[in-house]
Amino acid sequence: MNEEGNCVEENTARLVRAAYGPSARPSPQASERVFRLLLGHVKERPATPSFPDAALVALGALVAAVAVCVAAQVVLPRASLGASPSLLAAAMMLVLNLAWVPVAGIVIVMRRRHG
Amino acid sequence: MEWASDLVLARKVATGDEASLATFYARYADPLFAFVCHHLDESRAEAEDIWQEALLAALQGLSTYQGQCRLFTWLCGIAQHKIADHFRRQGRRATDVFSDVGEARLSVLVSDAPLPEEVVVRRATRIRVVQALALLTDDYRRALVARYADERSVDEVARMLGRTYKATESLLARARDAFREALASLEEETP
Repeated sequence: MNEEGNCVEENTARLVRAAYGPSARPSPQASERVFRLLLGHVKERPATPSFPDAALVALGALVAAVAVCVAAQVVLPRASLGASPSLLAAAMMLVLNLAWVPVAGIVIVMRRRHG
Repeated sequence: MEWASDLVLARKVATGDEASLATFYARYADPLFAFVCHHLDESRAEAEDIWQEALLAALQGLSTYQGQCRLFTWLCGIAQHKIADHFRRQGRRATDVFSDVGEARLSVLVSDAPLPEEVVVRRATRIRVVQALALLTDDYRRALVARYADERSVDEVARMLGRTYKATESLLARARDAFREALASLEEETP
């Protein structure tokens, strides 16, 4: 190591020693005790019911299928929904809303996985 | 900037994942203790109490962490509130320990000239060093702390990390570079 490298190492050593020496770190006993305390809190905390990713995707797929069925009823000439304009408008609104559900599901899964 | 890996870890801990809690604790508990210690300059017992309070408060509030800053910066914010509460109870005011940090630019702390002793012992310097160490990967930090804070030989560090002597020397060199970069990144974040 050259002189400059030695100096960098010496400065690093002095800084780390001053900032992070044994006196600036918890004792092993305190560390263990506090970790157990935190662990106890985590265990005691009522578990947040987690909605499994697979179920979320399945629900999204189901909703998408329902949306397709409703859309088909609206579009097909002999469909019952097509007979009334107000019903038609309501169905279209429903389809538009439902169409976003799978997208929201995918976004939720992606955010869970990748923060 | 979002700190994606910090956010993922925080969310896992917040949902009660015990392995993630162990990772979180291994990564941040010791640096947070050093952060509290350097702010207090008082007895270890008081430092331990405040550190414990800060960690508990952090655990309870982890679900509110949104990744808007580094997780350690967020933890330091909580610790600073606890320290301010402690001073308030004692009828004292917490001082701004960084008011003098501008006298020595952080990036030159690890430069090619010997550091004056008064810079090394300065509280603001020590706190910045703790923050820089908390930014390093676990193996870099463990290597630097074992080698320089605990003054172990390279051989001992190698055995501790389960590496060869040569690999440990190389790891230490990379860790020193990373440490210098971490200090420089803190400098950029300092208003």
